[in-house]
Amino acid sequence: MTPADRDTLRARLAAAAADGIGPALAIAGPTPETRLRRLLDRIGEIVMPRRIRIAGAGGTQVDLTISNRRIGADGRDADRLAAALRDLCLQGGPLTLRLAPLDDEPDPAAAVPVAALRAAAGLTGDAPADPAARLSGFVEALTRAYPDAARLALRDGDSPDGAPAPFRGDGLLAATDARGCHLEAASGPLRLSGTVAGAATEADLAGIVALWNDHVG
Amino acid sequence: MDQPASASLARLDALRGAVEGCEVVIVADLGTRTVLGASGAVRLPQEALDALCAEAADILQPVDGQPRASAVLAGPTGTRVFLRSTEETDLAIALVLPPGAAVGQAMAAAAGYLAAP
Repeated sequence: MTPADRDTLRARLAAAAADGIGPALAIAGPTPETRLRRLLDRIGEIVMPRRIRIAGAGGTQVDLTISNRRIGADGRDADRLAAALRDLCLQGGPLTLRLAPLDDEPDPAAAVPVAALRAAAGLTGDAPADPAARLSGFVEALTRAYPDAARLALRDGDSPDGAPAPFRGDGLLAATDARGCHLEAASGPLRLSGTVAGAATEADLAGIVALWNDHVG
Repeated sequence: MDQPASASLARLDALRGAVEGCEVVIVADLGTRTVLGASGAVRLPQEALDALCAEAADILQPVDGQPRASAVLAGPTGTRVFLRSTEETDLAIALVLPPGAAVGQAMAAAAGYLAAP
């Protein structure tokens, strides 16, 4: 955030304190991760107690309180809160952030520090493995588990013959029928599709999802 | 239409309670895309339950003539588990779990629910 941005934010905070709910602050970025990072940068600068309403481009919104860089999250831990904010960022387009004064100081013991939220969102420390590496790790693990049965194909997400995955952002759809387990997955710009022949039981499905959680999820 | 015994609220509450972290469970009629019963940690609007039911019907629909028995949709905002009854093939359970949830326990509990008379 530049000094000019900081001044603008301070002015808007002052306006919110004087007039109630403030104007919508747009938080844009080319990727969901960029939007999430910028959102946390913004709310990480808020010291005075504030109510905040964060709305995704799809209309979903999250209401929180914040004071002294700690977020009152209604019992949600950092992981759940990070997941909720990431969901907003995955809706595409800019987020909007509205601020309003808060009369009561949130209970610090029940609040999540913004730093913990950054960590839960994977925005601190070592950069997370890139999507291609994570998806490749999943494919390798699956191939080891089912050496003669996995028929998997990785492709670029923009491939015209690629069926759209039925989820936003990264995710896995695994479904079983009598033939085996059918997979559609996305991680970053990559898509995966394929079948694990014979892996038709609920235990197979649970195991495949566990591999996904270990490597990508 | 009478609600089948398998959709009784107490049994659904028990199923949700038996699955760690389960936020919502529904019994869905896949043929009519109707929610027969639901139990949630929070009260969800009917349209949210209908959307989950429609998702179950879409994901479990036959592909190449092969009916799908079970499915998992896992993403950064949650995990959804779908299991079709082997006895009444239009009947299915859908469960909403947290991101990264281990689904084995949920599938076993749902299978037990569907198998009970």
